Amino acid sequence: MLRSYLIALSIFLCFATATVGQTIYGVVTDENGDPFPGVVVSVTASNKGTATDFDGKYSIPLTPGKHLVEFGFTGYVKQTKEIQLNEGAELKLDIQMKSDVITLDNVEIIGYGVQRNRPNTGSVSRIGGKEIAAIRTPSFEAALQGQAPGLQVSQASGIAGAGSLIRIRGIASISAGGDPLYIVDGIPITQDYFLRGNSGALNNNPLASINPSDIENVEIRKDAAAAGEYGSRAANGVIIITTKRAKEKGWKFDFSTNFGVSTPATLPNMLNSAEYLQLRQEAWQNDGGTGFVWLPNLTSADDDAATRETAYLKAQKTDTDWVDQTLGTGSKYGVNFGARYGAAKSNVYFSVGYDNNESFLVGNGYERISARVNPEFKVTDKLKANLSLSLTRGINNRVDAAWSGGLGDAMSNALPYYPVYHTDTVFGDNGDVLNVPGDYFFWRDEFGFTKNPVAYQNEIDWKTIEDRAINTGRIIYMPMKDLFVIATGGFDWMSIRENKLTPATFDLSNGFGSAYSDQRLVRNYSYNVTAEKLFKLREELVLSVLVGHELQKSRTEFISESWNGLFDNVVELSDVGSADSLKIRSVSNPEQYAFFGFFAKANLSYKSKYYFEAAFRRDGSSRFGKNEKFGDFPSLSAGWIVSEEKFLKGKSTLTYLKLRASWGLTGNSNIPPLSQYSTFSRVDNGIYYNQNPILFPTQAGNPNLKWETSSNISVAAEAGFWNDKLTFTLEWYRKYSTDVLMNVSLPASVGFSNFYDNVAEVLNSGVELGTTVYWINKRNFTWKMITNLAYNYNELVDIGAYTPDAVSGGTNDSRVIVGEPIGSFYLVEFSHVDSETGLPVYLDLNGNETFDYDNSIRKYVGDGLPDFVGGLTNQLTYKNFTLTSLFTFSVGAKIFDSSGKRQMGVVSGWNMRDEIFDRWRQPGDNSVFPLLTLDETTYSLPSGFPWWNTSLFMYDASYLRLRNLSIDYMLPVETSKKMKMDNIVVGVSVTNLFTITNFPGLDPEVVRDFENPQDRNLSPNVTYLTPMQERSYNIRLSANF
Amino acid sequence: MKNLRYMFFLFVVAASTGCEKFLDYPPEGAILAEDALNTPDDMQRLLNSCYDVLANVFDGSFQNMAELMSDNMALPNGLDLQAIYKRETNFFTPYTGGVYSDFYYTIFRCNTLLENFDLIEGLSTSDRARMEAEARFIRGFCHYYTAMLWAQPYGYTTDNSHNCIVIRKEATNLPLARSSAAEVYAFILADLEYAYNNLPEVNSVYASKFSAAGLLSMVHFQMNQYSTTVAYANEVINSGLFQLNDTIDHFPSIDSLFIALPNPETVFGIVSYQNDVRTDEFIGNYNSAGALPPALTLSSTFNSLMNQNAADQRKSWIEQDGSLYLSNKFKGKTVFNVPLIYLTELKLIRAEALGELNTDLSTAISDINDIRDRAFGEGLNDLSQGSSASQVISAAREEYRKETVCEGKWVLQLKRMGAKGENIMVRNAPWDCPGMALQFPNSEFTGNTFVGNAEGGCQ
Repeated sequence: MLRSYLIALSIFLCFATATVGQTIYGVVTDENGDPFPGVVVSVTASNKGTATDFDGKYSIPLTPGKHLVEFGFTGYVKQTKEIQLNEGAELKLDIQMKSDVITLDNVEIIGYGVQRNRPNTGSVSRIGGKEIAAIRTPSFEAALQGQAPGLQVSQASGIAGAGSLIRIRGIASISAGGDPLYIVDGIPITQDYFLRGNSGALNNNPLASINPSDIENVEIRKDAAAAGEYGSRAANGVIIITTKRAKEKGWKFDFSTNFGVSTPATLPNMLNSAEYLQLRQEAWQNDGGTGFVWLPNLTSADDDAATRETAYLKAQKTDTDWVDQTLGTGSKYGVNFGARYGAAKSNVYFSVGYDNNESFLVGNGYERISARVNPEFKVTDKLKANLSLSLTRGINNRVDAAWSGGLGDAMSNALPYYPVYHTDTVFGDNGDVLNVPGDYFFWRDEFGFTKNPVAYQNEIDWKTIEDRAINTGRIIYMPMKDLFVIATGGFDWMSIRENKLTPATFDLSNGFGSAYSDQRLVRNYSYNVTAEKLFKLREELVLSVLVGHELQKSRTEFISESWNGLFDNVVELSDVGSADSLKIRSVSNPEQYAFFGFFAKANLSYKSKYYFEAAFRRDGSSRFGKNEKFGDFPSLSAGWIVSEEKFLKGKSTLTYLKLRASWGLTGNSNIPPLSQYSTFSRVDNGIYYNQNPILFPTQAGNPNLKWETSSNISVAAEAGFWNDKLTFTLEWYRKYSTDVLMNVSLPASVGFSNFYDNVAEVLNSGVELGTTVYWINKRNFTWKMITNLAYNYNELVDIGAYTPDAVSGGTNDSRVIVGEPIGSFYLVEFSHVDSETGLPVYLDLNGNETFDYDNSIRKYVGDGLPDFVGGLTNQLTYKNFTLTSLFTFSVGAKIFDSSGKRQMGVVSGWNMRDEIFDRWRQPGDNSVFPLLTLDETTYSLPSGFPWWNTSLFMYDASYLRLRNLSIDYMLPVETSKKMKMDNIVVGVSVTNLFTITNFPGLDPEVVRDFENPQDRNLSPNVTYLTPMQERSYNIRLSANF
Repeated sequence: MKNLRYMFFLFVVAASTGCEKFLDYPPEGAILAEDALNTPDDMQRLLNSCYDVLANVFDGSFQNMAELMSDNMALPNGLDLQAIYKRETNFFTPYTGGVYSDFYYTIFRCNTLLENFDLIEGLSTSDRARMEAEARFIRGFCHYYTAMLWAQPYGYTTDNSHNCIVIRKEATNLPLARSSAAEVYAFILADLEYAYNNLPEVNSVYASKFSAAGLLSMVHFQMNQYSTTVAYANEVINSGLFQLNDTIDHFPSIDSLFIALPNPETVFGIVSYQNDVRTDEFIGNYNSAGALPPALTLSSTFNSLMNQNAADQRKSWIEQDGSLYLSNKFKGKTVFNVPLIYLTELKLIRAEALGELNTDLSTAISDINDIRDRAFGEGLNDLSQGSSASQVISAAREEYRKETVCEGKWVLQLKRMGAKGENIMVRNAPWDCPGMALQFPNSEFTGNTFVGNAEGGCQ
């Protein structure tokens, strides 16, 4: 298999070596007409760019058509030129830079301040909207994978609307949210993954409602210098999303559409009926049973031999492939239309989009309908205002997954001898007809729940409807030269309504249906005001000072309506209204929090080669105790463009070199809003004990809660060789987090289950390398290769007087273990199968072999954090064709297959995977799995506890994946012109074409559903019946006119 | 530079001024702890909430666990219940963990009440004394029953230095180590004696002076201290406030809405109402649900014991279904009160204690015959006057086991007898095998000082 991949890769690379393309080139000079080295030349809406060499020269290969080319340098006005590049043409474009007098017309704002296109002292990766839109993913953030060093993106499962897991430079938080801060058009958005808990084994994805086609660019800010201006919320990095605006005069239109199909990227290897029955029989006989084994939902161990035999023989006649019943072929369709209009005093960007992603899970799909208007008005020569208004509706047609059912059932309690439908008439004890042929066959799982995934996917009416409006407004006032006052306000409104109707069919006892409609309503207000002044202190010494103030307030309301006892004529959600008399409505207490901060930043540049920046924030959060609400977050950074020094200037090999370093404190306050408070609840309704009211404590608060703080040090070198044919960034960082918030499990004898405390210390340290190489840069042929690689070391340094069990990752077996990474697996270590007895052999805490499974010998056995992650992008352009491939990889992480312990453990009411064939059968056997048994105590597990939490089910999760492979073809300009288009591009792509891994389960890259932020932090790479990722095949068409 | 100085000045002023009020977001719909307890009514409500949790623990949850550890039960259905029966609980067993937590949740509320009297204005001295005594009664009650299941009994070691349970005398979050049995029992007795000395003789359905006396009698009996057992039992029995039921049913149904009908022999117990049923775990586990057998059924050995005498009306508590012996104690019932300290039990432990003391055997025989007369009919199976002390003890134990079946009391006696030095085997395992003390829940181990019970069952 691997060989064929390598051959394919070789062909791919060979193809790359025989091509040519169009080029733009020229010389950039300063105001005196002298060559201007180091000017950044970039082509918007593409990832292409370079910097001028010592002689001020530059050259960029481009595709034919219209392009916007930008020229920027600190202290100089950014210049933008629109060019028309014909096929095979070389266009010379010389530019003279003008000193930096920023006007309302050219001001660009990213983050809080005016973007001067200066060489930054911090670690920032910028990804263009085009790169994001090029990869067909269920949610835009998934397209960031492999695009920037230090950015770890774990893809979501194939459930429509599922979100990815993003980590920037490891994980520093334990119980507080560990995701980066997301800023959209200047405001922090609501990013709560747990608004719906994990109902149906799917967390909320707050990013799903953002239309990738609206994104101009995404900035990843990693170190204290770059993220420092968001200091108190930037402990886990910042992702800044900027949406599109009109930049050119007149009308411009964009249109794009795509079609695709998706299939499961991999399939589980469940046993068929004959195999399952055979293994179950073997287990029964190993346990000393005689005759035929009893079968779940057909017989019990107490039944006589004849009854068991009859059932067994009957079971042999049915063989249902439940996985096949729950999987299908998904379809994708999307269309986006954008319009831009620019005039002297105003401009506007407008877009509408529709996207429909029917996943490969039968009955599951996510539809997004979105609209955006981004207008901008120049009110006076000193005042400009703009708005970013978006409205999105996401409709998720839900099915159960993982532990909740559906495919999860198909991989667990749906035994192959269960039929989908009854084939015979079933009579009750009194002769009543209970079922007729064609009725669903229902069974009960070990928890007593009624099951049949086909019935659920066909009959349950279940939708999650998300309405979202992310709106910002900004006023930019320039009262005098070089002074900007910017006020940004935002209102992020989100309504998530989950409607579910379970028809009467599923209530086997009473025959009643039920329904619920839960709504979560989030209103998130924020504003920030900044004033920024540029001071030219003396020749070539420029000081920029910014002060600002920020405020945010969020309120989440919970409204629940339920109907129980619905009759069987209620089969659709629309029928529920007729049952108003059965409705129970409850409104839970809202959750609110507020954030408040002041900040200042000063940036000093000297001779355009020495840069210093100092920033300071003082932020307050309502989440913390009375005396601990405010925290201080300073940062310092410096940059030195060494290549501007005389001893390097003019070298032909090393044409660009910058060194930068930064230190700063960042923070995290992302915990439940009321954790600080000890609270009571009063119930006056008189149905409490002895019909008397009660008053009782409800929460153990912690009035001393304070900011979780990370101290960040970062040192980096950025270099360009041979006129930037090779560029690289090498960066080392160390992030030491203290007062890390832990939702500590209190001893049960306290009387409360949990409370938050600042307890832990966490170290993240690593190295990141990013390179871009133009292997070939000919007129008609270019080959660009972008590589990024990140190594991260994570260690939980201290958790005070607590033990590993003080904090756990939900139902997963991840714990906090001092000296090991966050998200370590705490399991009984499995050694081998004893070849004489077939029993499992464990290792105790001292490494001695034992047959006794005991929770007291649990220990660190591995962790889910990779040592290395990275991506490799190759982009080859031949004439009008562009071939792009993106490989992603992860090395060193372990994966705990938490459902494997049931699928390949004690033989039970779960179906098994065919790896179990390698089990012990007779003395002398050397096998992976021990002898089969129906009795968990055979493996020394506690009675009634078949959850075999051993390292046997922990695997190497290293992988190499062809994440995306696409070919685009741009129609010749003449052809486009004839069609009155600027350019037309058609393309095909495939995602997840193959994965090379040793992991025997479904997918080594997994993001399961999580119970809470703590679980999300602690349990990466734990899978529990989690659906596989999708493989999609897509065709797309885009046109600009 | 003038501008710079101005901006800096503005920033410093703004930052130092802050806006703390904006960040003050007290929870809506909840009461801050500092605002919660102000009036006598607040304290009374808090006290009622202690009973509220206690009622959830004794809705059959505790009783089922304890009964499964005895030899009265057959192998149950359900993984958790089986783990208890097989004496193989571990710290992931949710059923036992939930009951354990609820005991301490009750204790936390009691401690909160005990620590906040000084905040209350207008609380009369007598009410304060009563509330304090009730809280200490409940605290002692909870510690006692926790010690019964999660630790080996008093007398397991000669000096009672063995690990018992965590003593919680303050409402704090601190992890604590387990105390010795000697310390735990001393603490329980101190609480109960305080309650005995400060509670009124009559206190509605809540703890009274005689509730404390009854529990003190039971605790001393558990400690094999017979004189004090008798003394406290006498207090209750001789009070004249309690009469034996006419029927064998300790759990008469309540049919009338909002009318609590405590069993006349109940000294302390849990009350239910039609709109507040506190019997779910009895009903849910002992009664059949449709065609499915109940989770809990009785053992054949217990069935044999009940069938020794054809005249024993208590046989009707058992219904045979194939190889299963179903308990009828709760059949057809939905709402009933749950007696926790009652006259039948106190008479039988007084009888046994007198037998152990070999004194006043006539009272002991009279106590036993009171129970037998009700079960068999007047004089039909009486223990003869002149019976020996050992005959008294044997008869008292037999009646105790029969009367209290499904109530989780018998295993306590098995442990007590074992600690006393008798050769007690419980379903072929010694009374003090590791599984006879339940494993503590996982979260108890979050502190470094906690030592759990040995696991591995009783094989």
